[in-house]
Amino acid sequence: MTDPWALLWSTPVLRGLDEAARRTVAAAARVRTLTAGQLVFGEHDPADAFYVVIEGAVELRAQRRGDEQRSVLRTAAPGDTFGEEALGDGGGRRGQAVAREPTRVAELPAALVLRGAGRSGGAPLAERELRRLRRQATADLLRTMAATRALDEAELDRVLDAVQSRAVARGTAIYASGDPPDGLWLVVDGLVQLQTEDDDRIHVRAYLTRGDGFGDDEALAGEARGCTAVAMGETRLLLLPAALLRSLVDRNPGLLDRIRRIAADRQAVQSQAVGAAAARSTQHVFKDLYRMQMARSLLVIDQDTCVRCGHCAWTCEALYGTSRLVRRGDKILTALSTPARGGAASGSLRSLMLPNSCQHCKNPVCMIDCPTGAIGRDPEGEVFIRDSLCTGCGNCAKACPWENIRMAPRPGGARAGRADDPMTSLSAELATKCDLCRGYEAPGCVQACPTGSIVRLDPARDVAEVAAVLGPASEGPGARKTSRGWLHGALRGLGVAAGLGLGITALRLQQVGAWKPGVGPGLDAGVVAAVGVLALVSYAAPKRIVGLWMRRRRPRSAARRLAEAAEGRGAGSRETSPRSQVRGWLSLHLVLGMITMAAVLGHAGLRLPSNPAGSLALAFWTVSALGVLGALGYRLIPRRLARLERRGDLPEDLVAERKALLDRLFMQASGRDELVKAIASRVLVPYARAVLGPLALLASGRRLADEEARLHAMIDAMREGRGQGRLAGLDALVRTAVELRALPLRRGLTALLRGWLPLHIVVSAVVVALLGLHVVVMLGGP
Amino acid sequence: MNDPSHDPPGDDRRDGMFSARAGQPVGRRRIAPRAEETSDVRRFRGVLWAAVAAGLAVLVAMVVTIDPATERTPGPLSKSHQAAATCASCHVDDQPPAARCGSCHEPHPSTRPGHRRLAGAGALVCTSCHPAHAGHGGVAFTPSGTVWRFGPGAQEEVEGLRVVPKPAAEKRVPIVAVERCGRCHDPQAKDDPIAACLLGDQRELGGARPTVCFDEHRAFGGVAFSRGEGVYARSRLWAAAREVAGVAPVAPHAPAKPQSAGWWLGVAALAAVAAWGLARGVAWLLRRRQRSLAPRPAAAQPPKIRRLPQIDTTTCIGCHACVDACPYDVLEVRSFVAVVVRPDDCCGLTLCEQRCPNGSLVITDGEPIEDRPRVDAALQSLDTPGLYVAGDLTGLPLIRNAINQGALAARAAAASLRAEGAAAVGTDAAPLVDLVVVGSGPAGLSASLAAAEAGLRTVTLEQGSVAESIRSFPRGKLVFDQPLGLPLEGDLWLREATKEELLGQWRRIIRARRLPIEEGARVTAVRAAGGPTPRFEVRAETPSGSRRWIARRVILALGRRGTPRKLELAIPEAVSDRVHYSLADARSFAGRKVLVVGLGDVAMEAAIALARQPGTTVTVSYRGREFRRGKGRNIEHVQRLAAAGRIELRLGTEVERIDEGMIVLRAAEGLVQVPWDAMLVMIGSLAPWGFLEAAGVARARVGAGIVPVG
Repeated sequence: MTDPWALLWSTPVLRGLDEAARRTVAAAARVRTLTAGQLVFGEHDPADAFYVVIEGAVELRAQRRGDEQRSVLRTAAPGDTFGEEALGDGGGRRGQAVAREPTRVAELPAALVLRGAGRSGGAPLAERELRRLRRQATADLLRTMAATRALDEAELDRVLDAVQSRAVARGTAIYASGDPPDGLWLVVDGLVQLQTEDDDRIHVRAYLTRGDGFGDDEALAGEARGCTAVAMGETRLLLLPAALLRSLVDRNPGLLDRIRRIAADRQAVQSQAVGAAAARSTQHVFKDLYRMQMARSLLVIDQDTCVRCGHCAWTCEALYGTSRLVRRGDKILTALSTPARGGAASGSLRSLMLPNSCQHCKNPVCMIDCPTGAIGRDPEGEVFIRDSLCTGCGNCAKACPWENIRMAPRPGGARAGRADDPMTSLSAELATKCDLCRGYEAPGCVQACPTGSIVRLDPARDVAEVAAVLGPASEGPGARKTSRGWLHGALRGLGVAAGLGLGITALRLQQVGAWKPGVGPGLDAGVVAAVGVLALVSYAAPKRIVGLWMRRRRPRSAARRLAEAAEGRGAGSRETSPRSQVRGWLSLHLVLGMITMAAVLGHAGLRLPSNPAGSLALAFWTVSALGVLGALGYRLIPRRLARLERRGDLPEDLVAERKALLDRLFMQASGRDELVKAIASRVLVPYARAVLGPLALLASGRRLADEEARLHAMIDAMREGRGQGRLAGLDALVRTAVELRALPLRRGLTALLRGWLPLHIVVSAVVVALLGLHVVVMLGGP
Repeated sequence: MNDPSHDPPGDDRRDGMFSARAGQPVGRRRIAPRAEETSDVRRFRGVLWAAVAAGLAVLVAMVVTIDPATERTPGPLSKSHQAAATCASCHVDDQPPAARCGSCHEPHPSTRPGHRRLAGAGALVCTSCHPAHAGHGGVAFTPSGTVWRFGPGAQEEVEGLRVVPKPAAEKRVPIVAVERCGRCHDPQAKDDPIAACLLGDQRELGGARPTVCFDEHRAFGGVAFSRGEGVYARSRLWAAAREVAGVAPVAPHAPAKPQSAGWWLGVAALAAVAAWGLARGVAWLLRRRQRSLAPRPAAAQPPKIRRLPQIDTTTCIGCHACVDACPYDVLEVRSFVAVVVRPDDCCGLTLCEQRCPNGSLVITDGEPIEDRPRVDAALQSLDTPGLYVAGDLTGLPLIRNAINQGALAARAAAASLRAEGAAAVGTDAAPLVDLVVVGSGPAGLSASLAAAEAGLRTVTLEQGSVAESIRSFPRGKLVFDQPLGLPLEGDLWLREATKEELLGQWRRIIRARRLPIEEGARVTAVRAAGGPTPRFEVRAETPSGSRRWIARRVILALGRRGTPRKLELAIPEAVSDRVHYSLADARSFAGRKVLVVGLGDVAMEAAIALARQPGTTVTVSYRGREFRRGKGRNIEHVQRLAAAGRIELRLGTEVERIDEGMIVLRAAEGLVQVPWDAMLVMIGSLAPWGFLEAAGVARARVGAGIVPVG
């Protein structure tokens, strides 16, 4: 075998690299030896590298739009490149590459080659070659697209000459309503939303993803754009100019039918899924569909059960020094699908919060933007930051659309590097983000949740609505395994029943004087209670000593991981539904608490004498009362609280919220019609400021949306049909007013959820101290 | 398809999710978010200390106040046992205490056959009727004639008896309560023998009702008497005891020991609160110390020399850190390396240098800057003492800098006034004030605030309304907070906020602090009066006529935007109300034909905002043939809108004539007519040098030398 690098450096695209760039590329590149039939990459795999065939041959196969099966697009021979889509802006693989015979290929990280080419002296040469490669990638792409798949080579060349590639940033309009038509747009990667806007609202007409085309109607008819197309995320598009499109259609009359048939199918599916979701909630997954499309492992917190204790964030902080999870974020209302039911939506709607925590995008924009290659992705798709390479420049943190990367002081501080090589120094700051606790067997936050409310899910697989619109992205086991909720419920129910039964019996026996504290069964009950108290207090250990249940992952060699990933097994080893570890301990704590209370009743009855034993009893009953109230609060409050919030906020956010909401109310009223201003000042402001209003809202049990509807009805009744056309902006005002009314409730309920626990802990310590004294005295100590 | 309508995107960016309203890119941020320490993480700090302190405190409180030995007893002993008995006298190993009674008492079995039978079967022992700790005591007769009713741990004197026996030695008659007999007898039943032992009028006492059959162990009239006393003496004692049982039926108890569960638990609570507070306080102090140890960026001084970033392309990693730090888009990344693309706009601050992660970018010194006032480090004019200049005028047009400078100048003025001492009050026509602040932009407001805090008599004169230059920013424009470099002085809060949020905050502050701001007062002259201490005469035109103040100090916070540059041609009177120099709210121009003159940032942002309005026709006229200055993203945006036909760009044109219906533009290829409803002239502004020089602030000139910073 010859040295592969000699061949590689002579390939056109790498010829222009200078010495420094070659060194970097060579360090990161990899030569892979494949057997016949082995997969180089599969469809949807992350595309961050491209390949040069050293020997053998590789077939590119893809499913053409409208086909059921994959077919061969082309075959790459030695010296040829494939996988060039990586040289664009990343994104997933559009097809699979299979070795046809025993083959050796070089895997070249695209970002490093691009960077090297850009900084090299021979840049112009490399530029030309890169253009050629991108053209190749575009050709491969066009062969799979509905509009162009049937074109012959000559026609395809004509299209390739005219087609323009465009990268569009998140939130940018591709064209706006009223713009002159520029042609047919094809989505290469990303998500495009077609919408019309009026004063208050955005009406979404369609969501378009990879392979979809849009804008052909106006381009052919030569009319102005009838709607606005907005890129919902980093999106890459191809533009077929109108003139080319017209000539194409003239020569290939069947072309349009094919495009439109596919578009009609897609619309039918979407209108069903989106319409249903929008009808039942405004907090539906489509508000940020791009996030759903991108996320591979989206952390969600079920607000209906989350008790806002923040133990997830605390655990993260305990593990890494700064919390990579901030329990604040948007909220969606959706049903999760379970694979058992064939992917259909099952169960009730869940109120899910999407906190600030890395979602391990399929096409991570942070990784593309990292200038030093410090961000990597392992074969299982987990994106991580190599601390030693991070320069703290903050580029990734600025790029992440959801602020899931945060800058933090480097643990251990900065370190000066060697003078000759600034890259050996360590910056004082570094970028931090969730890496799913890759050193451990399962993420700490998920395991630490005392209610099991945190779930990591892949929306395209686990959220039925997303799957319906975007098409199921990847196979694999669902994140929602058989829940153990029933087990905890049963355990706690049994505990409560046992505690009540035993307690009542013991109290009765105490009262008739059959059991006495100092002798016989009464004394035994006391011993049980003492042991129970100690066991209850030891709940602090699993709660606060994270190391008890965070098990380090068995180190596996990178080669082994790769092999497993290639065989599709790797993912399974770690994704087997991480479960909450603390939840079981909490159940045990609750059951023990009930039994200990019963034991105390059996030992001392309800007497509270004014002596040390009485103090112990008093302290014990205080702790118990706090615990029982806390448990009841945990059970009852979250569900009610979830109905009152539009997004997940931290308690400290709520403090400043009132002022912000009032400001918003007045700002939303400014510049509006006099009628709207009058409604705002006479109805909405008094409504928002009513002292007992929040309590009424709590008692009514309404959701915010129901409350809005009620308020609207109230305003309509007052208007008696007048001024119908002058209500622009009222919706927003009503929303703000309702949020203002709900705010004190949110603060109060959150305080109830969080306030009792510190007291519970402190009084527990008093109980333990008094218990020690009690035992020493009764045993006849000093 | 049906309409899955979205909620309105809302003005608040935190409201709901990302909104996809066209033209509002929400992609990359310019500021990297920082890790925050949320309440989730902080929540339990100090709770462990509080818990430990509470536990220890309650232990200490109890150990100090109680005697463990007494804690184990079920209660005090009755009088007769107190003197002799210790615990060990009765409680020996596992034996029942009653078994030990015989060690002192002689056997004196019951006189009643039933009781004897029970005793024989072991079902009736001494303690069945006479419990040692919780008994009902009895009556003691002393030789002196004092009668005691005694109980566990206590006794009280009984007086006023009809017969008072005086035995030779003290005699005691034990009393047994009827509850002791309840196992066999029914005190309610008339025919029960025990009914004879009860006094008639004590029903309400229930189980505590004393029995008065004292012949339990010694028959009243029998022969069992062995020692000393006669039947008569004993019957006297019994009669007296019976009388005592009537007067004081319930035995006195030792008062509860002064123990209080509440007191102990209170100590624990106090200790917990104290420990928690201490832990939090220490943590806070440590954090503060750490913060104060961290190098604080120095307050920004106006640059005196033009400075430019220089980039080492071999080490630059192309990370955009400097690009994002620059407020004026001087830098760009091209081919993965940062380059200086707009050197003229460089403000000379070192934000980019501080941000560069590996030292590839350094700021180098260049030639001195000409147009800046001659001021010292405290912003006081070098030519006219007592006159201060703050804000944009000093050559650093950043809102945050203006805020800092305003506060700095006001504090310097306050310090020099303190040194000078009090001054007389002026006349009504020309009141004497400590400080006149001219202008109420960010610098003026900040100065007024600082002056109010220092207790100065201040007047703030504003020709328009508060913060007019910021108010004229297009609606919703983001006022960027700079990532670092400038410490923020004073309360004029500023984060990444929209213009409306910022203005709202300022208005709230003005209202809350009652800042004396005279709006609509256009200052016409500031004249230094001679004398040993600085005095200024400030004249202003107000809506109520011209007014005059005598001021001890003056801060000029005029800003540069104050006077917009005007077109060099006459504007007909008839159309003058259609010509604007700022854009407050683009929505008011919806559906109209607008000509924007100029292509700087302000003009571009206005054009972009106007082009977003439905039905608005926007034409931009600019003298240059290409984009010359302005932020990269504005240029890009305008070009995109122009390509889409939303903005008509007329480069290389100048306004020739303004008519009612048409504006005539002169271009290289001839005259062009543009129909118009409104015209926005945005061709920059004039620094008010004339006014400044008249007031006594000279301009630093090239070659004038660099003023040493004190």
